[in-house]
This record gives sequence, structure tokens and C-alpha cells, in this order.
Amino acid sequence: MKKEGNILVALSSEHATPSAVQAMLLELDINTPTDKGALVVDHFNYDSTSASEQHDVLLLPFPAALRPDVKNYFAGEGYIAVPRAVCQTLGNESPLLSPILRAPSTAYSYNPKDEAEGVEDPFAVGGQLNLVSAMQANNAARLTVVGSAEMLQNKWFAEKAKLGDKAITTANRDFAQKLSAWTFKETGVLKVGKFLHYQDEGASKKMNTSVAIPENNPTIYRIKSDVHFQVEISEYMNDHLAPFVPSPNDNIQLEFSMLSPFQRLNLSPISQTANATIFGVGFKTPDQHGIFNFRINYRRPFVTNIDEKRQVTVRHFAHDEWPRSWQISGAWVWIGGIWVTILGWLAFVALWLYSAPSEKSVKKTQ
Amino acid sequence: MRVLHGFVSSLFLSGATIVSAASSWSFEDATVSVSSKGAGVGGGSKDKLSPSTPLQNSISLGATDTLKLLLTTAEGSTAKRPHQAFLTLADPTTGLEESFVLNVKDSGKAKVDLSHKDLPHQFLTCEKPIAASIVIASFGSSAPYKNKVFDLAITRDPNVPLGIPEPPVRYAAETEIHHIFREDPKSPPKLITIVFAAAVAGALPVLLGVWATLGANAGHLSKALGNATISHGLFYGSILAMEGIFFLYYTSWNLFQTLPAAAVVGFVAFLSGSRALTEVQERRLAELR
Repeated sequence: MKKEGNILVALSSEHATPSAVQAMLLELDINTPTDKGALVVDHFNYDSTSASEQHDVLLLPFPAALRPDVKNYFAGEGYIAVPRAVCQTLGNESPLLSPILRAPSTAYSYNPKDEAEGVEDPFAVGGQLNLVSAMQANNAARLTVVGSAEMLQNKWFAEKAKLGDKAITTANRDFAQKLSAWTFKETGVLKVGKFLHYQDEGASKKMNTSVAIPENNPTIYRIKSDVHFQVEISEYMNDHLAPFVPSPNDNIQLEFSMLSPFQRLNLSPISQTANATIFGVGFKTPDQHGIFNFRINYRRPFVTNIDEKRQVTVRHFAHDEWPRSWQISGAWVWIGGIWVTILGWLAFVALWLYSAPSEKSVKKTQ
Repeated sequence: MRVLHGFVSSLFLSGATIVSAASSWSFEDATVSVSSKGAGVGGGSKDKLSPSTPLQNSISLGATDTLKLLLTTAEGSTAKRPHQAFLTLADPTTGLEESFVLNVKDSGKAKVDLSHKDLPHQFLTCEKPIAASIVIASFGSSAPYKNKVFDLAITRDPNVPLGIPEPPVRYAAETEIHHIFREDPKSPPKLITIVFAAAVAGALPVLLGVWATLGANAGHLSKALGNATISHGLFYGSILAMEGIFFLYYTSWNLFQTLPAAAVVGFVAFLSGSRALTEVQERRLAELR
């Protein structure tokens, strides 16, 4: 995983999980039951064709989105059969872990070798049980743990099953395809294209939606000037790059930061090309000069991380960019004083040069 | 495993009088009681639960109270021990669920005790009553049972601080930050400025008026111009031009435009000034000043 390799781990309750695998998962904060043969049963959502007695073949709908702001890469129609699964519980601390397929609320894990007639101390119950869980490391290497290796077998790809009285066909083929596509980075991979910013000199303050702007970013801006920012983001979908569309409740954010962000703004999609969405925002540089970064740090479950930045200098006002003194009403008194001094000086020079002695002064000199 | 369960269930089947494949799990004789620590016997509340309809009023559980749920699980109408007997609490707003395992005896008698220390902190801070449902199910074909039986309202002593851990890091959009700009410098009210500017401007006529009363005049202008026309004109003109240069420097010129112009005008003023001032001196020597 350090070399960005992706791993799909399939566990099975019929074979004991090797302790090395268990220890490796534990290091990633994925807990699996320690006793051999522990499996997940649910007396409510089981396949009554193949497991009418044991209730250990779960039939579950496709998972919903993990959170309203996370894109769902595993949506689909129909039911997934999860036969004899080993459950996992995920540690709460790490943001890198995310459940893909959770057990229903009435499910629990127990060990059939346990002689007790009733379940007394289950490993975990309900939605805390994960049947399929995922971990995406900081370098975007992916590890998927599948609780039931059987669910990936051909046998279950489109098997007839019965949920209660309803006859259904399992959709494991679809789910397995989506799961492996995600694990081996065929989906959920983001790519940043053009990353540009420019000074807005127009009067309209509208974003330039043309895709033809070259990426010749200025290196210096003045404080309090209007700047427009655009980034192209595309998403790899199985075999081609497509425009990236984030979940409706999610936002890609631009940070304009010097040590800490001075502006953190939601980007909105402004146009689309054949294989990228252009996100943009316009803002005013803060009234603090220094070395700033345009930074996009987009980390979400199930998509690869984006962390791009461009450095710019933000300078303060040049001496000739301030408002002139006559525009400042408070300065009018002082400007008036200067004019009075100038006119008084000119009048004084004229008088001194050209004044004829008056009667009084003649008397005085006499 | 299959064999074991088959064996166990067949044991039960032999003991049971009514065996129906379509029987369903349920419970009987259920009571839920809340007892406070200091209240002694008879304190607290006690309610009977019905498998089909949830309790009307919600049950409140205080900080020192203990909730006790007693019931008998039954398959069909026979008391029997199921494999799964849970009391499931679910937060209606967040969807968080926690199940508590009922301690079931072979006779089907089950009980569970709950107090605040058993509950996760999310439940303790929950505003709305928590839905409590009972899940009874087992292997085989009997229909499982899951129904909401009562609402649990958690009451807390607000003075006792609760150790709520910091929410863990999750990757999500963060709150927007908009830079708060420093306020622009402000000018005093225009009226005050205009009054004081008028007072300053008014000083000039006052000055000229005082000079006039002291007898200032321009009576020698024609004489001076007559004696040294060019030098007087140039001298006074160069003083005016110097002020004009300063004005241009103020409005549009830069220093490198200003300095040569000022040098030229200054040189003119120096040359013409010496002549013009000589003329003034002559007038003074002629006792005309």
C-alpha cells in the first residue's frame, strides 16, 4: 500500500482468518472476531431458499450513501446475497476507514461452535457490523475487506433466492463489479486539470467561463483586489475521464492561505468540458500582504485526495494607488491651509516688491 | 453446526405441545419498571407491555434510576428460549442503534437491567425520547418478532458534567471562512470639515484686509516695471511658475519631471531676481520705500 498498491481482502467463516491478516487489519483499526468460524446471522433478512434453517445467507439491498455529502459508488438495484460473512467493526478514530456494506439492525455475529442456546455476548450487533469495509490511505492506496468470499463467487452472481415470500435474483455480479472497480481505482479517482487564477479587471465582476484561457497565472496580486479562480476536475470512470460532479451536499473548497486560511470558499461549477468540470469562485484578496497559496484540499471518503496549491505574492498598495488627498474630505482643511499660504505668499511678495510707502510709514521713518 | 441446532430444536420440539412451522415469536407477561436508588420499595413506575401496541406514555429514566425489563419469550403460545433476544434502542434523529442482550433462561424468562452507565453518551444527550423495541428471533422457520414497545425519555441532572469525547475527524467540507477586512479609515462629518475649511480660507481675506488697513498698496508697480521690465516680469513670473510646478507635482508629475523644471525656473528666478532686487534697492536708496 505504501507503493500505492490496492488490496482486496476476502474473508470467509469457513476458514479461520490467518492471524497475520487479522493483525494487519487490526493495525488499520479494522477488528474482526478472533474466534474461528464466527459468522453473521439475521433472522429477518435471510435467504429462505438456501439458508432456511441457519439464516446465515443475508439478503441486503445495495448500500445507501454513507453520508449525505458523500458520493455513493456502490448504488444499484436489487439485493446482494452475503453468505456466511465474517463481520468487521471499524475504529471510530480514523477518517480513512469507511463502511461500504453494513449489516441490518437485527443482525448479529455469533460463533456456531458456541454451545449456548441463546446468544449471550455477541461480537457486535446491528449496523455496527460491517460486511464490506474500505480503507483509503493518505496516498490513496485502497484496501477493501470483504466479509464473505462466497459473495464474489460465480454461484451467487445471479442466484435465485427468496427473501421472506418474495422470490428475487441476487445482484452480486453488479456489486462485485462495482466493488472491484473501486478497489482497483477504476472509479473514484480524481484528476486536476487546469488550475488558474487571474485578476478581475472588468467592471462586471462576472466569471470568465471560456475554456480557452491559458494557464499563465500571475505571480503577484495587490491586497484587496478582485481575483478569479478556476480549476478543472475530472473523474476517472472505468475507462474514461468524465466531468466530476460532487454530491449535491458537498462542496469543493478553495483556501487562500498564509499559514492559516484567510479565505475558505465553496467552489461552484461554472462550466463543463468533454471530460472535466470547471469549478470557480471570485473573491477579494485579504488586506494582509505576504506569500499566499491558492490551495484545494479535497479529501472525501471513496475518492482520491486532491491537494494542489499555487503560490502567489500579495503586495500592499503602491504609493500611487491610494486615494488622492482631495478625495478625503477630512483633508480639505489642510489643503485649504496650503492654498491660503500660497496665495498669501504671492501677495506678500508682490506687496514687498511694489508697495509704495504710505503716509504713516513715511512718518515713522522720519 | 446444522446437526447441533437440529438436535437442540428437535429436543424442544419434542417438549412442545403445539408445533407449527408458521408459528411466530413473541413475548408474554412483560413488565418494565423503573426504580430510583433512594425511593425504596414502591418508588418508581411499573408498566405492562403488550407485544402488539407500544406504550402510550414514554418511560423516563433519571440519572440514578435503573430500568428493569422482565418478559417471557414465546414461540406461538409456548414459552421458549430464542437464540436472539435483544432490547434495541434507536435514536429517532440520528438513527444510532444500540442493542442490549436479554438474559434468557431455558423457561423463556428474560430480563435486562439498564441504567445510565450502560448507555452511550449520544443517548444521554438525546433530546427526543428514544424508541425501544424488542427483537426476538431464532433459527428455523418461525417468524421473527420486532416491534417498538415503549419510548424511553432520558432525563439527566444538568449539573453533572458529561464526559463527551471529542468528535473524531471525518473528511467533509469545512465551514467557509470569509476574511474580515479591517475598516476603512473614516473622515469626520463633511459639515465640520467645511466649516473649518471655510475658516481657514477666510483667513486670507482677513490677512489682505489687515495689510490694506496698514497701508499696503501696489503703487510702485508701474515704476518698478518701468525701471526693469524684463527682470521684474521674469522674477515674479518665475515665482508664480514655481508654485505652478509644485501644483503639477501634486497632481500629476513625478519627481524627475519636477526637478529639471524647478531647476530652470530657479535659475531664471536667480538671474532675474538679482536684477529686480537691485532695482528695489535703488528705490530704497532713493528713499522711495
